Amino acid sequence: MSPSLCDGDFIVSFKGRLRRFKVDDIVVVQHSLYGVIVKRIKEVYPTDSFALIGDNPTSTSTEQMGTIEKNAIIGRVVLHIRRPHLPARNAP
Amino acid sequence: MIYSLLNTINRIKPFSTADAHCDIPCKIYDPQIAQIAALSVIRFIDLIQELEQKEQRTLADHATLSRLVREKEIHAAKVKEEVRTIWGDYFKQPQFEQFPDTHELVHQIMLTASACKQGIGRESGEKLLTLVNEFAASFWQTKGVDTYKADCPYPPQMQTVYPKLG
Repeated sequence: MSPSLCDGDFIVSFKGRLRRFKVDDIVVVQHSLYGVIVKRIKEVYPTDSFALIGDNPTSTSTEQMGTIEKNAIIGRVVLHIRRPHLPARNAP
Repeated sequence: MIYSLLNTINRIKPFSTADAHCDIPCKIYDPQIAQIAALSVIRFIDLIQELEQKEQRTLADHATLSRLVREKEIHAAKVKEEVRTIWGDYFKQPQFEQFPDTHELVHQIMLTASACKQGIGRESGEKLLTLVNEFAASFWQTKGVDTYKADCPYPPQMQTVYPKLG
């Protein structure tokens, strides 16, 4: 999900009973193959299932992740605390 | 400020983690590749030393020397890559808490593998194997798997850490 989310960042996710997920929401998902992942909703299907996408071009593809059912979504990311940037170090 | 606070809480009671990277979390990690690569480094050093004993070296010997040096460096680099992968992808907070010296151990492996690339001293190869064995023992212990030491059944027949499986 780089550059939106980076390794070590903290996120808070929330799943309200009534809220509907929409395109561009960043969601935490319990994926059957990839475990707990955080991705962006690319598409919402009429059957209340979703297609996901990563922000990074090298992310696992939408096709690889497959269609996601609503009950697999742990929550929408509502708070993001970015890890402070460490000073760049020259390679030895 | 908020990040530091959360980080402190996370160290005391870790939060759930979500992966956002592109790697497939295949969970297949095994230090044996690094161990075999370290053994190979020692073997290549031995073969290089054997060439040195020859009074006269033919063109074929020079060609062999080139290959041995190349392979020695490739296998030393493989040790670094394999150990880095396990350290970076498998080891997480619980494993680091179990083995707090892992960062230092991995750094020593990186330095020693580089020394193996740069030179032909057998002591560097032996030290590399010792360190990688220590890393392998830690790895298996984090998985609750006991280990034992035995001479590998092929040259250079050095003490190697193996998991007790089955």
